[in-house]
Amino acid sequence: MSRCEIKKVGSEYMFDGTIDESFATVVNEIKPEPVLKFNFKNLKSINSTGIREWIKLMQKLSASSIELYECPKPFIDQANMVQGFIPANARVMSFYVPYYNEDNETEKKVLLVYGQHYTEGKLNPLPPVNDDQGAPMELDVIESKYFKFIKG
Amino acid sequence: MSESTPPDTTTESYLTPRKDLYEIFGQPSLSLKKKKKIIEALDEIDGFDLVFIIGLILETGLTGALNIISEENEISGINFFEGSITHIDLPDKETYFGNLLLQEGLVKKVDLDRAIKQNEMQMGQFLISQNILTVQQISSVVLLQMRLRLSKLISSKKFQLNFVEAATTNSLIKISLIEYFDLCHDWITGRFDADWFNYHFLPWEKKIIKYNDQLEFQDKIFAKPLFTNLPGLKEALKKSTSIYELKKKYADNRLMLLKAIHFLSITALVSFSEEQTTTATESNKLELLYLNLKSKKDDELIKAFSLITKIKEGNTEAIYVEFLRILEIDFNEKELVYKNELTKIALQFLTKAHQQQQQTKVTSKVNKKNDSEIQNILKTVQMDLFSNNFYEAFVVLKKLYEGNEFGQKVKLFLIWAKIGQALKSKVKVNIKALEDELVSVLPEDKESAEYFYVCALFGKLKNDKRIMQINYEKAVKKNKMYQVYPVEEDTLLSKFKKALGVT
Repeated sequence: MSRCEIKKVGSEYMFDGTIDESFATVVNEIKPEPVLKFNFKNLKSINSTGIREWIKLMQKLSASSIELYECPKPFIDQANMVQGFIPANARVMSFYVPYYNEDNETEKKVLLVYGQHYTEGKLNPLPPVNDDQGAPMELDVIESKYFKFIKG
Repeated sequence: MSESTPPDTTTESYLTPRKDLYEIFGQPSLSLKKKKKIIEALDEIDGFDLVFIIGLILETGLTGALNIISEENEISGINFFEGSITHIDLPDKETYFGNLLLQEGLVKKVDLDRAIKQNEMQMGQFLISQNILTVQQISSVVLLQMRLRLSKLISSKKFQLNFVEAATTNSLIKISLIEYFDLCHDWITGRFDADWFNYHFLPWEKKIIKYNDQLEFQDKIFAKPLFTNLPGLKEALKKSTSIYELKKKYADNRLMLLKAIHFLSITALVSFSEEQTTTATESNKLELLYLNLKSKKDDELIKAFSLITKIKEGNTEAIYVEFLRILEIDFNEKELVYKNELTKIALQFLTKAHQQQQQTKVTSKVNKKNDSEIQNILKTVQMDLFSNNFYEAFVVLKKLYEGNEFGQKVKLFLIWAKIGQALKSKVKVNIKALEDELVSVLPEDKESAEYFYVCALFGKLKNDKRIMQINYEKAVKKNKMYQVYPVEEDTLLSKFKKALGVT
């Protein structure tokens, strides 16, 4: 999957693939509603054109309340660097934190949930994470950079 | 679970992420994951650092997108595919594909408008289908666009970036690592400034330089103009030397030396070890810093502090605090005297920077020439240059150059005036110095007809008929106007005419 596909499943819009130059053509499927739920579980990446298109979409949906679920690292990286990427009317409801074990080179993504692991401006201490063999895993992001968006 | 606020990023390390980045080629066993982590750890970088980062991504063969976010929240990006650059995304009208086609004289406005209006296929495909352009012509303009756009990113502007690995598509038109090195050469010679180099190399000044003689392309790299006036550099680098020692060896050409070392570090031909040279076992970073700063004038001092701390000018307090922190990090008992002196200089910086900020508010609107004013001045200057009024042109250009209006061919025209005056007056000039200046022309100006014309004049000055002819032909190919201003060898008849004052 390279280009982005958007499907509405129940009340959620599921984003699949890459947010890039093709995004402009697929976002027309999203109609403004009072509350919009976007799920990024299957989002693979986002490039610079995609970032600009995403910001345009956010501007278009400024009257809706937007909830962002299962945001992967590429999405959070942009949220931390680009102004307007997560506007005031949007909130990250859950996001993935990558963990890594250097000894056996295994990776794991842990989902942090709003209200449970973090709230507005506050991050609770991160839970300990072990791999399938029970060995402790290390955080695989730069802590001070990755959680910056929580500060708002 | 107890609650805590996320860590504050403003207290993160001085130089360390950048230092890790620039030491990456000194650790050949570093895993790909660690290399990616080093890129991820970078906070704010400047456009000059991008040159190294792009090179690193190419060398590691990663596939994905480098997203680049400027202080003004402008978003640009570079796509990579297995060690090649395949696309540059820059919101810049000057380098729009259509504009470049017009500039290169490849399409007429009417055809371009037709191509824009239709929406059945991409512009390039349409122009090919109409037999207006060939595939080769399209390819050459796409490559030109990529080069120009990359060049625009290379500046002292501050950026944040992130690399997203992704299955981006390959492209037939791409910039390979070796082609990228050619661009790096031009940027380093033409765009980087002296202060950047002085402070950039401070952490490694006395570290032993490691030379990697396993790389196949080394002869090609050392054949570049940057090395012309640095004889014996390759051999010197193989003898466990340091920048400190090389600076002594090439005392009359230090800036070129630093540029050359930086270029070589991008190609991974050189890296720095943790060891210091035997003549310099004691750490004396503060002494070096003091020697660099002690005689700086106000403006230079403000710029230098920004470069040392990697914090943008204007953030005076943040720069001041960061500088004091640097003094603590690099401090050893033997350097107490330099620490004290540097603290005084820091206070001097604080005062001057505040004064300058006040003055800037008042004068910036009055003094700064806008782009169209500079363009008009340059048009007049070019007429002077064509009319052999080199001295008059030189005076105007020098003033522009000293006012930091570097862009828009100012530097190139300045060299033109110097060469023209030398040809006109027959006075002996320093060819080597002129050659270095010509190498340092802005990369984007090196694509212009004017550049080739000046190179032709330089060929004439050097009595090198081949260089003169090749470059003159290139200038005419780029712009037919140059047919009216031929560059030819002086014949007996022309010399006689000149003596009589007949043109």
